[in-house]
Amino acid sequence: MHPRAGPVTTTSATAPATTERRWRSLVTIYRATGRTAVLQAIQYRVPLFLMMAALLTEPVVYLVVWRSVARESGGSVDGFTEGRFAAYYIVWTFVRQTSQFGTGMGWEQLIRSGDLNKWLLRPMHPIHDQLAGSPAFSLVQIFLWVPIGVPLVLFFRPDMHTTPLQMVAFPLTILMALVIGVLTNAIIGFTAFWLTRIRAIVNVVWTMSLLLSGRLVPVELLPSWARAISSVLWFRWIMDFPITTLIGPTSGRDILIGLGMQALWIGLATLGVRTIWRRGVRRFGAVGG
Amino acid sequence: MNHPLKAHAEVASRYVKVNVLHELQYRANLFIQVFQSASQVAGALVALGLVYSRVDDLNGWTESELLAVIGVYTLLGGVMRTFFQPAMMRMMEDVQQGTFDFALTKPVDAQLLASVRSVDVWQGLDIVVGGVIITIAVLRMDGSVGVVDSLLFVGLLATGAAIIYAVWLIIAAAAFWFIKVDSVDVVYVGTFRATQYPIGIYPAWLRISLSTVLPLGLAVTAPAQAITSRLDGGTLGASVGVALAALEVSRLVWLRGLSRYSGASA
Repeated sequence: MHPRAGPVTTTSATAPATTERRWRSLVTIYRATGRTAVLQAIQYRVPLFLMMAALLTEPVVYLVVWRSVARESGGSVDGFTEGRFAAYYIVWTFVRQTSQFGTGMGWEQLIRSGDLNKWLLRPMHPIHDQLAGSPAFSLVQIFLWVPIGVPLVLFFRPDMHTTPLQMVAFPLTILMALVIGVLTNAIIGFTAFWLTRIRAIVNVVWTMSLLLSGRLVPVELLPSWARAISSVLWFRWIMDFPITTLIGPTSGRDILIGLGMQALWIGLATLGVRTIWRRGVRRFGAVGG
Repeated sequence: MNHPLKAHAEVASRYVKVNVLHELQYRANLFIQVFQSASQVAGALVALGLVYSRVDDLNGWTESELLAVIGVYTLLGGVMRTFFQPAMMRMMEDVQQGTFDFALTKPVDAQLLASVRSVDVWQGLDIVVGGVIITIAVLRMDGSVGVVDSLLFVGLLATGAAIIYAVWLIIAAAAFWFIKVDSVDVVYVGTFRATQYPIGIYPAWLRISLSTVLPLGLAVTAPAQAITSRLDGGTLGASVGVALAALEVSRLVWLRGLSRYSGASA
């Protein structure tokens, strides 16, 4: 396939009818891919549930540690009470399970093994498969999260300040975080066109994300310089922002700023995906597959 | 004729040596492993720094003492990922595919063979990193570590490794009954992460689980208690007892499971 082919990389349609047809096809493909992703996830629900249960250890460890710190600091740490830490890390589990998939290693595997070939034969950019499948996969994850989230809520008693506006904004923040994740992972993955093995890069980005996204500790508790880096880059907007949007207290203005930053990063990452894909796919040797 | 133990040790060392030589062909993996180890240690140290920027001790553990726990966690994690995890993963895969027959046809104890057939040598970097962290922690602690504590530390590292191995073996042996047990390694490794802090800081249900059901917490906390001179007789006895019991139970489970194996697709 020529690198310019597909809806993402094609310059523009010559006639409105062609554009409309293309968008209609895209919607059909997104629906079909989404349905397939749901069916696949349902088929492997037990392994998915086990994996989710195992991944719970991480937030529970952070939660227990920070609750102890809050207790030993006289009840709170920079405004975070035990209840607020509980709310933060319980919503953390939800955000993690519904919006944080993959690392870019999947792209490396496709490029290194040559399996990308079969995706190049399709008349659309392979990123659409992930953009369509991930939200559908998220829906299944929500159902699997409930039996894990409910005991956590009952045991740790979270303290939340959630308004109707926050309830409405929360799913949107999750969806946008998911899209940012898919796009940034793709950009990292596409570096395999030049580097072949990208594990080292993935590890560096993973560590940055761990430290700056609010995964390890709420961004509010980071030193001011780390908070600044977290806010300028995309990290804060994929984890800490969706969490704080739901648990509050937050304002409509803060939510709007956050959504704006998410939209900005979706725009920048889309541009990055287009540019790096065009250059990278020309270097693709298409070995194997 | 050689003593059986000596023969077993020789077989194990030969297999490990061959595996190491095989892995040494892929030296670029060391570079990747450096990043991986650095990422994990960076995350743990930043968390430690953030916690102790606000409190002087966490449930009675000072910063240096908790650093020692992280060191033991990294070291034993390295042992697990270098030796136990690759071997058990291969065993589960072989059982699933019916190719475990190739191990059974060898004139050596099958459990021994299954436990030494695969080694991920580069993960051994974490053993070194863990050792360095423990050394730094000890140097930062007030007062020196006595000879008895040092000996207990080494002994409890061995019992910790034995517990980790035995639990892995029990979980891997589940493949004899359920065939496809893909996600158990994720569950195991996920649970192991909880041991990076002393089990005493956890709520009772998690503390008891990490000491009895999946006694990984005991495996890491006990040596850390020894090197920080906090070890009591109860923990020492529990560690040794749990290690012996875990090894015995894992052997029984292994033998029971092996008797069910029929080499499905070989």
